[in-house]
Amino acid sequence: MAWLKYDESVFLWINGLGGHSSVIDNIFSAIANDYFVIILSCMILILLWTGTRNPDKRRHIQKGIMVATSSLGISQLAVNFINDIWVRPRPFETLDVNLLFYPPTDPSFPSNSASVLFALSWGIFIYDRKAGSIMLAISTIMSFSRVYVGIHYPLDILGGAALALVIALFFTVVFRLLDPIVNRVIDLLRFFFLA
Amino acid sequence: MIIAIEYYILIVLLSMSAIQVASSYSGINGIVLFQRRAYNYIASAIVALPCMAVLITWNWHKDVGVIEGAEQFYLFMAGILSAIIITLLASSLINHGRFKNKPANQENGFEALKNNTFYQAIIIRLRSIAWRG
Repeated sequence: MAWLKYDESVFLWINGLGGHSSVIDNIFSAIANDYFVIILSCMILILLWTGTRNPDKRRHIQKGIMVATSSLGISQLAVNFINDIWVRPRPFETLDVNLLFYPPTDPSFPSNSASVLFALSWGIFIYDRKAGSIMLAISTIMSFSRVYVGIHYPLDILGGAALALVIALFFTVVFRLLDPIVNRVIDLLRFFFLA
Repeated sequence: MIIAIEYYILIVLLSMSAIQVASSYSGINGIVLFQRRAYNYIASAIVALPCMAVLITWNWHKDVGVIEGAEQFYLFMAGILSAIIITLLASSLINHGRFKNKPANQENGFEALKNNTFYQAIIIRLRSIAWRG
């Protein structure tokens, strides 16, 4: 398929940027790691949950955090479902690449880490443009680094981000429809001084 | 197993640091561990930065350091829950004397923790429920 060839050529161009400077390669392989950026994003959620001074604004952001975390859970199920339908090999399995990271064994499409990060980011972005933009920027850098180090095609990243966006929009609509119930949940948390 | 414990401890420490920074910033004095905002920021940074360094270099110093997705999720949730419990217990103990003679705050949410510890706020809440009951 032509778009897969195009995806491969974009991958080869980005991955070809690596291998020239060990410092830059190390920076990208550190950013690409499985834990750092995801945990950083979750810490931003804790900061938003606790650190918003205005109670009304806090309630609004807490709804965004609920959308984000719900989207994260469902995006993982969706990734597993897609992995069962289409097992796309990782780029290092089929192409001659600069592999700057350990070789993951799960299918390439869609990117699991991109779907996790973008699910959190889109969920927050819908409710708070400033914090959401920061999280989207972090997610984009991490996702780019996953291509740079040779473990994902660009289409895997776009697929993960698009999947996360659709799921986040779905949960935004659901949470708005269920707004009285969501408010009751937050009221309950506030009753126990947890929100 | 050791990797899982290390991951769990990192999450607990990072979450506690994030809670401290955020609560200091928003003036929720009942759950901070240091009443001076600057001390709290510095202490949080001292804890969080090495944890971040360990996380960012995780794949370099652990060749087989991958925690499976579901286990990672459970460890993460357990870590955050532990951090919340430790923060509420420790701050209630540390700040108990400071807020003992402050007027009882009947507000809901974090606002109640600006002049009360979590323990004091819960006791006031339980008393008011018992009184109404």
